[in-house]
Amino acid sequence: MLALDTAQARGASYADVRIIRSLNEFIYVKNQKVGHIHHAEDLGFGVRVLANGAWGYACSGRLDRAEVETVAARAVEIAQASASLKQQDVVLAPEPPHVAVWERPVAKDPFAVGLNEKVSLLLKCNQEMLKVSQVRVAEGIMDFGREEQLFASTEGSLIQQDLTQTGAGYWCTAVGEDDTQRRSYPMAFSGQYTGRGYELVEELELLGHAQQTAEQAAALLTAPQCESGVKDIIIGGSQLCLQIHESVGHPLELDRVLGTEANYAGTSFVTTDKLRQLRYGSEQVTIMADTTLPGGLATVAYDDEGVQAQRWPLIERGLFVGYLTSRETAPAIGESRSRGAMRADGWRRVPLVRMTNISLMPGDWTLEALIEDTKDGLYIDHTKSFSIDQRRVNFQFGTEIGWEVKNGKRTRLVKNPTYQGITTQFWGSCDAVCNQDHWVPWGVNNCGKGEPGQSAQMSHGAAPARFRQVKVGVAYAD
Amino acid sequence: MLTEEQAREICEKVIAASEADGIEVWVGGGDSALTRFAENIIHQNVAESGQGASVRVRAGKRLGGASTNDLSDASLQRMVAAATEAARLSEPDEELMPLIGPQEYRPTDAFRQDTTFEAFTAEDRAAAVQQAVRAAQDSGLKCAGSFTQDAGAQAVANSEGVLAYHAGTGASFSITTQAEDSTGWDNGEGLSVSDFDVRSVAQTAVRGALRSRAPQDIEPRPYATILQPAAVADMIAFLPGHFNALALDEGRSCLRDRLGEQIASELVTMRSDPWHPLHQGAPFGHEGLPRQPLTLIEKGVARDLAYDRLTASKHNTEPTGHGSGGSNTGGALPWDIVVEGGSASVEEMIAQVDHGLLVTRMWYLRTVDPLKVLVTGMTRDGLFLIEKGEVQGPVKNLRFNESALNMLKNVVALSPSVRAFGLVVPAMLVEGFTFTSATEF
Repeated sequence: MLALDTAQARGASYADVRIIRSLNEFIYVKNQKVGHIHHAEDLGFGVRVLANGAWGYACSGRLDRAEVETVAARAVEIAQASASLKQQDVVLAPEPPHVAVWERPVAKDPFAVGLNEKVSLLLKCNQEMLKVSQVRVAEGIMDFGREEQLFASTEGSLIQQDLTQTGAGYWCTAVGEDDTQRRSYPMAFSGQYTGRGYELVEELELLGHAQQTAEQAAALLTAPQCESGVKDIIIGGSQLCLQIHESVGHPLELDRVLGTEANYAGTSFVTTDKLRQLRYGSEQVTIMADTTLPGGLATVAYDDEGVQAQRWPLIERGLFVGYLTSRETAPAIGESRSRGAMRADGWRRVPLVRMTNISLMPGDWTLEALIEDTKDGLYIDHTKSFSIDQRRVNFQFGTEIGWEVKNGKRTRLVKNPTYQGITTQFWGSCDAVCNQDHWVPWGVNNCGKGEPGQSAQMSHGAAPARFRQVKVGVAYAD
Repeated sequence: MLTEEQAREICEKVIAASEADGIEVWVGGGDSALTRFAENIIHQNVAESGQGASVRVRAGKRLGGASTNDLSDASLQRMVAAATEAARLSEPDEELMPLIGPQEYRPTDAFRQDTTFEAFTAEDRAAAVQQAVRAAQDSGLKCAGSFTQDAGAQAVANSEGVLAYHAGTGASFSITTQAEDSTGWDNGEGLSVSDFDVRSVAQTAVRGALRSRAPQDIEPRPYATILQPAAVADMIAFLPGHFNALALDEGRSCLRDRLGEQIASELVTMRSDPWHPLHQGAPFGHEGLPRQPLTLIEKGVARDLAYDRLTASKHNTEPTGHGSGGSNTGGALPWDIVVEGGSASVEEMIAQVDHGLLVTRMWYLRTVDPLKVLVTGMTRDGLFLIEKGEVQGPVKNLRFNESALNMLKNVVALSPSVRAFGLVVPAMLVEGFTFTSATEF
């Protein structure tokens, strides 16, 4: 309360403080050597204030009385400097004060599991992958985090949350005469991450998939190049995760839409006049934002400005109906309450509008039926490269692996699949989504945004889905 | 910011707290601040003070690490204990190199007093931003951007007597100007807030937005292309990792079987040089070894590699001081990259182009094919068509799929080098840069 009192005494009309203690255990193995075992502890606080109608933020890793007063006063000074260049006072959408304690449910505390058990499992996966002669590099990680947050505001909120997350996975690189190919399990970018405990590691059955992962990497070395052309493509869940992230999640962040990321992350083609007007995708496309999703990487009870977690539609049967908002931005689209999408990367960073868990709702198809229904297509999965323009219109993605689909059968392996599209045309071409049995909340552990740079985590639930007549192989076209 | 004396004290305290077979310590701390503006107002304004320490502890051939941002005695002792426990539970690394002893470092000069919190305040940043906003408003434009400043120090030590300290400052100003159907951009960066002129940077961005109005469609295909330094820096950033000797051993480098060969135009020389006046980087690497200057590409020929100690020992050569932090298995990464410039101005390059494009900057670049260094990305904030030696007008942004190596092979002219996104690079005129699709703006 010292920070809030100091800020108010210095002239803040609103202040909040977040005190955050985080613990992390990270294990990295490579070619049957332990490359890195690291335990990290971090503690600090950040004070966000409104003074003279403008924002200021200051933070520190020292938590003594004098430092708290200094930092709170600095936040007010910074806000006063901000006020020298404003057009109107910042107004926040109302949120009732909350007094609460919440923690993510965890079945098995990852910090209570022995380090040697974890290291041993990763080394065995390494060993299994290196049995395939073309595999020159085998790597794997486990990554466990716990963040203890205390949020308090001058409006009377006092919220304590404990957030555990777990990540695990491995990947290997096969090396040929003039090519290298990488395969990952269970997904690219260092594996699967969830807002759960060690139970995730046990469910992944890591060792059981190592041989196939390595064999696929080796097989890709001699597989034919994915031809360029126009094809029906079935995109697997882990790749759709990134497709949702880049071409739905980011463009619907209202701060981008309103221009505050214009110099860095960019703006958005989904301008506010398109709300409830734009046909974003086909009838098969319903996309929900859900901060309450069990096990989600972004699952919390309250966001980083004390707004209660919610579940709401972004795209309903193809129609664009909702944004990700904050207390400051919600009024700009006529909404009286924030959706609770403000999140900060620890105490060092100020909260920004960030994606929460955003998912493509499952359809009715089985994957087998979807393949049987496809005459001339590709089945592709596991992200290899990804790029999208700063208004989130033109994208190009590549996957680690693909198979041709001919007359309802998955046939030969192809390497280096890439596909390219325009966001609304692409989602408009979606004609089938697989069912709940195939639906997995895939984790994104390192979503970058903002200046100074911030990393955020979120899950994207997805099942394989089919998109008609998509440009493929463009990156390698002559 | 940590002084050398404070850093030394912390390192000594940590080493004294360890009963392990050996310990390496890294300590760092400093201040940073950023004022961010958009829609012609300041919307985010932040300051951070932080410090931290990390250790890597040895138990025989086993390694364990830990870190903390609390530099109290109790916390430092807890960190050492956690790392020691991690080492005990780890597996032995039979190739673990012994710790090195005391080293000599050729210092760099990276600290500028005028860029500290005390000398340059939130009010100063706000005043600078006001100048930029006025420049945009005077031309009927909106603008967004940021002004950053930081001052920090780091130290590396070990139980065999290594102790190295480096302090430095940095500042940057970046602005995007926005008209109804166009944007312009520029930035300035350096060791000091006085290394760039905010008004001049803003005016360049203003001119860019005004010249980009009413962009026309253009067919995506290969073009002779002039890349401004920011675009060159984005492409060059994909190359240093290929000069990691370990990556070559693992078959993952594009330089496989190509060392000593012509891989780029004779105009291209690329070095790793912390003593360059625009860099002044730390003269030591994570292993505590003094960094050696490297000539990675000399007149187009692939030359030096960066070696960590283990890889160097396998090749019977000397390590170069570029060992990567954290992991003991990552090899060495050259940084403080300098691509030597030429004498051509961008205007002279334009005059050489019969039919081509001028790229202001790029966005969202990612590797498509690592061994080919094939990269995809988008142009951004000003793409211009050049016809018969003159800029004819703006065109809509394009996606490219191009190899960074091919780009260097096809260089035909270079401007003098400047600092851009942490690299020192020139503008380049490149023949046959491949664009593959269009967007809507």
